[in-house]
Amino acid sequence: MVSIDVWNASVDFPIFDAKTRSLKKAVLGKVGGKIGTEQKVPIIEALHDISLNLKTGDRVGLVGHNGAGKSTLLRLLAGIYEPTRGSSRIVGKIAPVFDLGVGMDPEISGLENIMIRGLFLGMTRKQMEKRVEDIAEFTELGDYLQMPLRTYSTGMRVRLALGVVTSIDPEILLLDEGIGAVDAAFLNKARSRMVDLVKRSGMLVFASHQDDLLFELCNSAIWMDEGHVKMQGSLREVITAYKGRDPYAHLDKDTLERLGESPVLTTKSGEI
Amino acid sequence: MAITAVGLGLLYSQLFQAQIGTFLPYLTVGFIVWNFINGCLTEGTETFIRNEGLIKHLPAPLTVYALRTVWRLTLMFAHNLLVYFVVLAIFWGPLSKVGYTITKDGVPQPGLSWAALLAIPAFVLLAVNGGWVAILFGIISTRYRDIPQVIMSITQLLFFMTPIVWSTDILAARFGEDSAGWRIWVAELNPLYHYIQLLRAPLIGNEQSWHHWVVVLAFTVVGWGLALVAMRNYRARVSYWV
Repeated sequence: MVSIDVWNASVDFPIFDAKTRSLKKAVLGKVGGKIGTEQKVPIIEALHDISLNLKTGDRVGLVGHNGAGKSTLLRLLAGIYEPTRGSSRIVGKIAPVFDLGVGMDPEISGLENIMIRGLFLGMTRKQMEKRVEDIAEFTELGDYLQMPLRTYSTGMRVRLALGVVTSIDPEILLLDEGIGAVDAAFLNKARSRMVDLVKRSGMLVFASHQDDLLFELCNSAIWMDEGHVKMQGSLREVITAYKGRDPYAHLDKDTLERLGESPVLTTKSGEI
Repeated sequence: MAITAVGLGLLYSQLFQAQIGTFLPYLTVGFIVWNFINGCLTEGTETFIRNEGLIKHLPAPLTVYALRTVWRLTLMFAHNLLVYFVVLAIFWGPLSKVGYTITKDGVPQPGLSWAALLAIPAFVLLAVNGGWVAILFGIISTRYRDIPQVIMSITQLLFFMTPIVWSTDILAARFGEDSAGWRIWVAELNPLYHYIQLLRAPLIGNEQSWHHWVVVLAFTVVGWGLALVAMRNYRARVSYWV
């Protein structure tokens, strides 16, 4: 069983400048008397009074404008930021995928990077050894996997990273946006792997601006705005409120077919 | 590493009128040990600053980063140890002689023996100290970014204050056994002297005083105590500060 509970949590960032980062200034400043008016470090309230209860099987989409606190919320849920006020409890192993490239070493080969990245995502060496072949096949990089990572193009790096990320068995999967910088043919392949990955995972929280991906992977949504939870509910309701229109009207036919949903429901738009 | 040691060994053995056969190993091993200690101090302060990317993306305990730093330094120490074995092979004769002296009229040393195995627990103790240094100094310098520079200049001073390129024998020789007086405290009050001596003495067959072990053990206990207090209070803040 996995679960994440957050009670009235807030995350405040201190904004240090050159002066407040210096111990010398902090000590010597006491001697000369105060010159500046405001000695305190300014604080940004990135998240304010968040309460969430997520449990096994939840597939939550995070939507909101840039700077609304989506990434910060994901980091709070991952346990990277402990709430400055309030409290949180995380049960289960977290696989945070915020940046595809984190933990990759440009000097070692692709194969070694597969191993390292997997270990960073909480897999064991044995589990990764079983997956290496599958990942190698998926990335279509062939002999390039023996070469050091610095020789790879950006797209190749993304392929490698995506291959590793989608091969794991996460208990709690936290995905941040920015997965989609690959060519179209590969994206379709990656998409099906993403769907499989999410099916395997016990819980998903996914921040994205792409409606079609959200609809494919999630079943409920949270709308973040200025560090608050503005709305929480079913995916369609939240997206409709967030975008101001029914999202299904703008998805192309293929996507709708894949989702198995009927196109625009005129009756539904009346309810919301 | 080898070049530095040989160059300085030749120079200083002339300056201090020491036998090259015993002084050069003394200096080389001193350098190797100093490199490890210096690494713990300077890289330890940047443990968390340099791993900013990982800290912000992975919910791993902070000790992981400190251990990574110490482990890397340990590997580098192992590499430098090759120089030690070369030096040992060359100067096996003078070093294994009972009652050799490092400088002229210095304290007679017992020479290499099985006591050299004491180097293993000594290194383990040094590495354990590296752990708390990385955690404690790492946390402080993540908050106050001018600490790494301060530590850097202090270690530079300490390098010259610590008997690495000179030996305590020289103090005694210059001022006489009894009147060295306060000057001997320059070494004794310097904690790094005890750390260096802890590992260097067994490696080159010097006489080792038990008080080095006591001092280093005391530092280990106090240091880890402070590091644990810092961890308890500021562990959660580090990801905000980096």
